[in-house]
Amino acid sequence: RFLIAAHLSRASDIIRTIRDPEKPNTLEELEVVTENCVEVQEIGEDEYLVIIRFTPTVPHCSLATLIGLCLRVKLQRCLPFRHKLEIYISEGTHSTEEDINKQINDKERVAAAMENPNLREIVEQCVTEPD
Amino acid sequence: PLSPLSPGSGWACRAVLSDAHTRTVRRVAWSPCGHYLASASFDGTTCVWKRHEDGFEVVATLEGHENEVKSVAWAPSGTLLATCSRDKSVWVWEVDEEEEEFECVSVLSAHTQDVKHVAWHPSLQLLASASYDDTVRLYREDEDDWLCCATLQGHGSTVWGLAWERSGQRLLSCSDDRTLRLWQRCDTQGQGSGSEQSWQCVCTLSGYHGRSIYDVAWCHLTGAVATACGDDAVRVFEEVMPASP
Repeated sequence: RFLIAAHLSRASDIIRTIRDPEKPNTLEELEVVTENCVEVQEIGEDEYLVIIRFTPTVPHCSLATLIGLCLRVKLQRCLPFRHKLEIYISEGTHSTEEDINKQINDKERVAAAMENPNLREIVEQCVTEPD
Repeated sequence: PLSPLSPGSGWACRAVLSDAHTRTVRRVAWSPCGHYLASASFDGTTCVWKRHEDGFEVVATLEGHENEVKSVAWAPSGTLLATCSRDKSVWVWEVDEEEEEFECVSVLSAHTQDVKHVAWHPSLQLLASASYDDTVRLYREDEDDWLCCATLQGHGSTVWGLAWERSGQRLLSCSDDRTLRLWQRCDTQGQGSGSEQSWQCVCTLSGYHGRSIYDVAWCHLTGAVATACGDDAVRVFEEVMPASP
């Protein structure tokens, strides 16, 4: 139980400082992610399922998928424990949320997207911690 | 534990073919004759390599898909090749073995989303495709043109993989919905009964896999079925036969 709380806190810390792709603010400042948007479940010995539900600021489709990508990339790189990741748009916040959720959780789509140099550049800028 | 079958003394890397593709290589497939290797890439192309004693040489670059090619498969006859892509289409290519030329004979756009995988029937010229649109589709040649002759619906999410039974009578599909589905043809086996075929899902294996099932393989020797799952496990299934009376 203590571990779950610790992992949850760690995940929150990782995502709150991600920068919005368009605005000069963090996802926390824009309330795209909050303390309550992270859920952690134990799914095996020393393995945890991390679920993120984020709220995009505008209903723009490509921006939502981009934020989803940033969340996935940073968590995958920074979470120090064995995990599986699910990222969703919080319910009722977007007209095409099913479509977006499917895209951002399809590992082949994600891998192919990250090979796009322009997209990769934007994601890197959003997830890199300032010195 | 199983003992190894005649172990060799190791493996040697014979070739590194790094100049043909400009992005991730997603799938490779040997031709039935063994002389050719096809490689499907996110760069939108599929290369066909010929095997020589001293290495491999590109004999054809199949272009046309608008974005990432996800899979390539040779028909057992060796005369046909199929490719599929995120561009929602399946392409069928005819192989001219003598000229080593490949001609696209059909572009099939039946799916409404990315096509993840293609698999040829073991003995008939029947092609199956698996898609992000949650369906499996079947295609066959009808008077010089290819058409979609069946749509298998039932999965609740992306279909990632396919495996035909040795006899070709049944087809397995695996999905992001964490189930395996077994499909069987249910209309009369007559060829001339219109272009449509009827297939039904005769079995759904659910509750076994913890996350998306990315691949399924059906052994043509033993009938055993293996799955690749996002929960880090490999599973093997066998059909349980009813006890003889």
